[in-house]
Amino acid sequence: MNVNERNIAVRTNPLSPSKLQSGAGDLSSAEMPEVIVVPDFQEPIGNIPAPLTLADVEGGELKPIPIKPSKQSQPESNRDPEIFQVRFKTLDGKLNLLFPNENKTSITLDKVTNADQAVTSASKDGNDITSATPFFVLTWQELLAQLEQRMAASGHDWKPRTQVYLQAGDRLLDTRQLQELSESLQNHQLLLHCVVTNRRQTAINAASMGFCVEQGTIFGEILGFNPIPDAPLDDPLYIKATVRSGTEIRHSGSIIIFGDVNAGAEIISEGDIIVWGKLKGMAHAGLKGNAQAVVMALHLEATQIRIANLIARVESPSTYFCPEVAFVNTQGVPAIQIVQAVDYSKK
Amino acid sequence: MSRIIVVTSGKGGVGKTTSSANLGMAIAKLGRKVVLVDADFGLRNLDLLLGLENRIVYTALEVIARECKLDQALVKDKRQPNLSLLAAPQTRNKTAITAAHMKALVEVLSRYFDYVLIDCPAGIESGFQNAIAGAKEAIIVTTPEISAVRDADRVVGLLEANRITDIKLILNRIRPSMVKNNDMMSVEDVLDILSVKLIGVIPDDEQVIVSTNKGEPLVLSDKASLAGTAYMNVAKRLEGNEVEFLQLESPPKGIFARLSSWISGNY
Repeated sequence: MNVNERNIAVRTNPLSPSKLQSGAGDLSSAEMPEVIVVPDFQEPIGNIPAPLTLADVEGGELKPIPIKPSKQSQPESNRDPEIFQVRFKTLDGKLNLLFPNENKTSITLDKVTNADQAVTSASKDGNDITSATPFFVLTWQELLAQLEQRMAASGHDWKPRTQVYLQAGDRLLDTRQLQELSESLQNHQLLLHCVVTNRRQTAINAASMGFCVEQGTIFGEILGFNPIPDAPLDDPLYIKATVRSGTEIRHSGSIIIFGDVNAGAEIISEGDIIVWGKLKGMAHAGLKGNAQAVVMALHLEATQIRIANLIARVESPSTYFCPEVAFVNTQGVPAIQIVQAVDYSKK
Repeated sequence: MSRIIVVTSGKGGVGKTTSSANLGMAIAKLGRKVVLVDADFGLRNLDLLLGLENRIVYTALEVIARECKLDQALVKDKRQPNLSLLAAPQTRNKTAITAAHMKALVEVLSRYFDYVLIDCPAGIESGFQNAIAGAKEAIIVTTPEISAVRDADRVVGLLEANRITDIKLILNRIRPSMVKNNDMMSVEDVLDILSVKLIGVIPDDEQVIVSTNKGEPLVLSDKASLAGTAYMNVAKRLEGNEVEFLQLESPPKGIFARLSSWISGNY
């Protein structure tokens, strides 16, 4: 097991009372804390099974780093990364609000609450802990915060008093949560109109608060699952905000950002990434292997650029202000190259 | 309408508590009623900086648990009667209260004071979430270091996600001579990244350490210090006054001063 690729979490088992009495100060009875390897959060790059052949670009400003396909990603390669973010999606004229898949979040929630228990039992049984769900918890408060950010960034996309269809799926929502959600939407001139759920309790709660209720699960169509690799991309996502450190924006289409992308932020798109501002964070275009995708910015200072299955770190950010485009140069060994926007259009 | 302002930074050790103490004292000096709330449960410091440690009987925790009345827990500063302190418990940790408690607490306080200043703990975990729960405005404190600015950027994002959009920036511990030599991020560099409204630039000042150890905020001392003046200006700007930013460039030194500083090694 390559330790470099994983986070190592050290957990000490709480001493049992008997040990505390007998073994106080006695080094011989001291136990080595258990060291358990917790799997890294699933990197989206791991989803790309394509074999990689990369070499250093000689004399260029970019040095591609080969991406190792992660082993654990194979059985779960159909997992949609979108699942981790609050999303809006217009379908048939209806504005749908989607929450991250609860199955995954709830599993990890359980994991965290009984973390010690779960971790120790797994290691005792000799099971490979790497098969467990990645550590990723999204509490209700975090979910609301994410929704708030999302609305603040593109609230202007919708007309005032647009009706929102909440695709709740299997998620259990109580009246307080529905109330908070409704208030949050109202702050951005959106109306929670209908709750689509297949949980009886959620339906009752929603109905008691006067919302429309529809029975049903979330359609794959709305979720944006792309089982077919060549499926068309989603509509572009337009964001009008400064994307700050710690924020991650994922979209199964192109992403347009009118504002700066600060260092520490991540933009991950299945299509192109266009930043009308400074790009200082990490940008990954063509997530599912589309090497035609480009990253362009008014000022390209990204810490790292990824296109399809290629990674490049920008060695020397340009000191002058000039719009630039990063793309995959397929002449010779495929590698990411950055050119000035004026030169790119001549190609 | 009273103002509820949280002083936060993300990174620790950039001067949140120092800024809270000095700002609180400065606003109080301008004639406003101010209460400082220490939200750093388990690691309280604000009382030390204000020199009020030995006067604390009850803390915010007792108020929340209804073991005492609010005014019993408020410590009034004898040097500046407009300033009160609500201390954090030292013996409990951040899990002792919830965001709802904190929100209720600052709402009650806001009825009796013009300003409620909340001193936020470092980090972005539950302590931070509790501290910002009731706040309507925020002051971000950062130093001109890449790590502090990065954390500040993250915190601005989190504040915005929690519907606190009125965010102002204090840039602490700046050294004009280092900025001049391109050895330190300048005010412009920091603003360029954070793009929030600047409300104060505090120079690096040895007097800050002295005042911290004495438990006497800089703005209180009779002797004018550069940092103390800067904090006073921040308070005036918070009050809505237009105040010119301090000229931090050190005046050209005379030959003797230059010689002596050269000998002592800090030129």
